Amino acid sequence: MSRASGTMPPPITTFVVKTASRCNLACTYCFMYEHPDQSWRKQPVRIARDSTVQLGLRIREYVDHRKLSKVLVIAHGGEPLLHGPEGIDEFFGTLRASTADIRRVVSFGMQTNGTLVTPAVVDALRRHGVVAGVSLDGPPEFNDIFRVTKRGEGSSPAVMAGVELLRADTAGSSVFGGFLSVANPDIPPRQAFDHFESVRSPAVDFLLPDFNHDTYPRERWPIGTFGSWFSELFDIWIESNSRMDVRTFGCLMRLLLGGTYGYDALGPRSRGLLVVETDGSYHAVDSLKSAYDGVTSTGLSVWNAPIAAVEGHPKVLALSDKASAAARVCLDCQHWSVCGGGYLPHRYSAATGFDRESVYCEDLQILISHVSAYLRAQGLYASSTGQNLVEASIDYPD
Amino acid sequence: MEELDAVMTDGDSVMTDSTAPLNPHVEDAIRAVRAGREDDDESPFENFGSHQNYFVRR
Repeated sequence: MSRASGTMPPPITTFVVKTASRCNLACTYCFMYEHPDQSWRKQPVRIARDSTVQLGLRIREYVDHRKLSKVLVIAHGGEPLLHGPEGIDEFFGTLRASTADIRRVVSFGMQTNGTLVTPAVVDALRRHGVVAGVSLDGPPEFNDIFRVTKRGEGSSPAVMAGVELLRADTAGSSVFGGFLSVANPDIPPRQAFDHFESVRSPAVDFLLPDFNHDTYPRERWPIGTFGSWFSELFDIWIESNSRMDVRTFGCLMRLLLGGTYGYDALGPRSRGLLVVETDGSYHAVDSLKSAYDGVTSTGLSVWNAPIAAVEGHPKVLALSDKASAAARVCLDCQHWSVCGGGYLPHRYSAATGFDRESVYCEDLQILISHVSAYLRAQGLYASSTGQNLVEASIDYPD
Repeated sequence: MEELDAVMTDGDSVMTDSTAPLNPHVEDAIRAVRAGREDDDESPFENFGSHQNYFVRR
């Protein structure tokens, strides 16, 4: 699926580390456990200390190699709190020790379902400077349809109790950073927005569900449903003057105004990311597990290869230099400089692999056109070059 | 499509002909692009990291 671009690969600056390969919840749509890739069954239940040490050495080596000023290590899962505050201490403490001489370069984050947060966990996160993101799919009556315990019970009460602990750090400094929410058009956009406002979220992002051309439920949600839903949500958000960041909308506006960098799911180019499984192996983005078994594997690991050896791997490059693996129809499209072909997992079908447009292509066009029309109505005119040539006639304070 | 065409082919710069106050998020977007910092992890108005499955405001 690669098409060589002839340029240096974007550096990998985000390391998504599976510190636990199991989870205490059983969310119905989870790409880790409920999709074709079942490789989690062969993974150690948690990352070993020696693997973490080796990962730290690989990161240090790579930071020096690419002369990076900032990298982010995210504890991910599974559920990274499955091994308690001791697990947090061991992972981040070990990693910090093995990257001690580049301390200012390495930042820590964690994505959690929020149900296992305790005061001791909050203390551990604070000790290591970890900012936590929490997964929540909106109001309880919707979240608890999908995000359930292994006994089928809703997770909302435990999640919100955890968020309150994260927010009320005893030192007065919150370690709560925001929510991730899988978009659900069954939730009226106004209700979705009001819910995240009501729980005082500093940031939220709404993610397109991990469907592809073979799995998208066209009868339930006709093509275009998500585009219309996101467009309505954008209007509500922008008219509210809310302080809450919504990544999809902020990124879309930057790209429409001439920015070139997005993230793995949006924009033609982003900083690279690498997933490291509990056994230390290097993988492409985990959401790809929705396509087929073994899809994320690179065959390399912290034990046999430097990170530089995997930065140009086609599956890794496909998420940062999007043109390296985009379908011809996307490269020729006027929306390319904004959508970047859409998220790689959404482009899959068994018949064509990833060599086609996103299953959300029409939805993305609806949303991009909608946000574009809004910016134009504000009197803003965007770059045609994508070279960050912004000269807005507005005087901003530094 | 015509709307996007108009926006994307109107010169090489973001320009505005409006004197009305802009939404703060729009101001953030302009500030980020103008400064060429939309990929800068230290930017206060930029999401941190490049994975859709982690997003926080620090």
